[in-house]
Amino acid sequence: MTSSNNTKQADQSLVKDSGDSLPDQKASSNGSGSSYDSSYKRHNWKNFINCIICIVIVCALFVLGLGIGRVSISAQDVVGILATHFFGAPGNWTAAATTIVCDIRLPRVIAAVLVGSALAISGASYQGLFKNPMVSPDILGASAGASFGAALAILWSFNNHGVELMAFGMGFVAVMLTYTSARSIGRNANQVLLLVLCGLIVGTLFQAFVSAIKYTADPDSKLPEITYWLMGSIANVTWDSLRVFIIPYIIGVVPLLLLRWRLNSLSFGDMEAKSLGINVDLLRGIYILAATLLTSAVVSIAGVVGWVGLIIPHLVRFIFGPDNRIVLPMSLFVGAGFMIIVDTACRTLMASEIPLGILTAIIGAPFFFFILIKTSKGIEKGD
Amino acid sequence: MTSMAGATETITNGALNTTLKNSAHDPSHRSGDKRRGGLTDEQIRKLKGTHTLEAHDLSCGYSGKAVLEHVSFKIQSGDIICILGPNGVGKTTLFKTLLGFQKPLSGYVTLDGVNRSELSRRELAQKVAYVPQLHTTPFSFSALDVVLTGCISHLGIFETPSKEDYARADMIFDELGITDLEDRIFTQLSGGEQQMVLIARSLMQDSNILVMDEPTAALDFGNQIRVLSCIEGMAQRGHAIVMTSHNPDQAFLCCSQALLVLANKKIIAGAVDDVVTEKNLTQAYGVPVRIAETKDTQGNSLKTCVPLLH
Repeated sequence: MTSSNNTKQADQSLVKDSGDSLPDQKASSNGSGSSYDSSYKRHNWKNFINCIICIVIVCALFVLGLGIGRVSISAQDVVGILATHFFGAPGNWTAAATTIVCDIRLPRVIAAVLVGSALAISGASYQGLFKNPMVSPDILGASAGASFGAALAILWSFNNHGVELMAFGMGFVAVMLTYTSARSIGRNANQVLLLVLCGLIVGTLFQAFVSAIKYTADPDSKLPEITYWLMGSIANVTWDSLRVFIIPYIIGVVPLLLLRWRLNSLSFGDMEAKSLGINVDLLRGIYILAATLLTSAVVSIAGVVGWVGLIIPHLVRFIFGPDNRIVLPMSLFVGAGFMIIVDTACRTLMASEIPLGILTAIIGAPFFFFILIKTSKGIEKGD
Repeated sequence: MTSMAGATETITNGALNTTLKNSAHDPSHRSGDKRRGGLTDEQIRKLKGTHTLEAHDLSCGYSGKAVLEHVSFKIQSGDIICILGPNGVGKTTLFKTLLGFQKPLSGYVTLDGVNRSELSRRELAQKVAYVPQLHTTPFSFSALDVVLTGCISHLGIFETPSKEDYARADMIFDELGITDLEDRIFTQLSGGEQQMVLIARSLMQDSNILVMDEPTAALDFGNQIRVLSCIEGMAQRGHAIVMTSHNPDQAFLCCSQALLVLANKKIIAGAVDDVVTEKNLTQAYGVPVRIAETKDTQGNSLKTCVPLLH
């Protein structure tokens, strides 16, 4: 790095020396550029504050989510119970309250955090990758593939782990099918468009397979089971499945976060990104792999939960701007918070559970409409 | 604005070697004075003349079908070459080949003497920056975010722009006189402002060869000249610049070389005065053209092209 720093400095001095060659533009420059590190400080400070605020909100929702339910427990008590149970802090809690918070609600709320954040970050990644804010994580057929895997496993009477594994595997297979078919059609053609079209083909195909399985399934036992599974729910999540889920979660989230700044440059098109020195195919491959890992893992434990991957990145961009350095981590937090709220609503609004996928759509659709109105108003103002 | 009066060209081995132009801002240089800004011409050449882009008998096209053949030219720091030609003769193909998006059918491109095919994407980006034609993005990035993407080729795979990179971006904005655009949203800027931001990004890339695809397309009269004078300023600071244009006047205004692409794969390359002639332009564009002379503010003669109605 030292040699490149030297050339940078050399270039700076050259730029400085002949700065007077642009007299008419110089006039429009104002004094705000006099302190050179101002933009860095300004941006970093703002992002730091935003990050802290988001983490605090997610923690608050986490505690509230543990407290709300058929048995209502105050936030203070929840914190006390968690402290006693996990860190041995002194406290005198009833066994029932401890069981409700730590054994019944805690895995579910943790699942909500992981599922929401995973969907939101993979949605944000896909949107950046495909330069299209209308893209959701199942654009490449992950959900359709995973649905097929799960439906098949339920039809064959696999146990819970079998269903999860089949869903995960088939989700992955579907996306790899999309990716390889897009690559095999042409390397010089418009890869983004090809990927979306191939994703459409593969997704439709797997949806048809799911319909075929539903059609042949026993309408008294298998069909309702498949249907409920596909609507999505984290009601039956256990510590065991969370322990397995955390592995693809970490493997998926870490590269997305580490490479997130490079996603910005892809927004200007492949050719420009290449000219900036990016190995576009490699970066896109890594992103698709990581985001697919997350999406398939989510579908395997929670079923098909739509909308989160589409609206959360929008909301984040609406609040914090489009820089992916901020959008990706913020999507994690906002997705987690949103999912805690939705899942809490799922188990408290009605006497019986509401499937997660239904509620995310009911809450998500008007919410998305609201963001669209706000965003387009902002654009008009800017013009 | 510089006229071509100060430039001297020599032709060697069929390729053009253009010596550095004298500064336009001090007319005393025109009378053979070798000193400029405390540096001799030789010192400046030593400082700047280390960067070259050379095309060696290049043929380019798609899947074996040549669009252009036998393209040879050489530019070095301080040169601006203007590629002229009617729509659809293969200027974009030539561009893609120079930038390495497309393999040449025959011949090769060298950068600073190194064959382009031996350079990785990253190394290539450190040597050549590409300024594309204006287009929109789906996301409303700030101008600063756009410019910062320029330093990717200097950062490690997991690195993000450091404090120094931000400082350098601030300085580039300042030098181009567009500091007030820094926090504005790129997609909401005017065409001229967007072009300046893209130029700022190419400066951020810190490469000494710039390839610009119609930098003045879609700009109004004043912004065209503002962008051109910015391009000229960069050449004087040591960049070697390839640009395309639909306006042959721009070659007279600021370029040292021109490359005129005719239909039927023919190419005329050389000094601007030799290439941009009434006969050649008429042949290339199929309309009668007259070249008139006028004077710039310093009283130097300046040529301009006037197309005629049939």
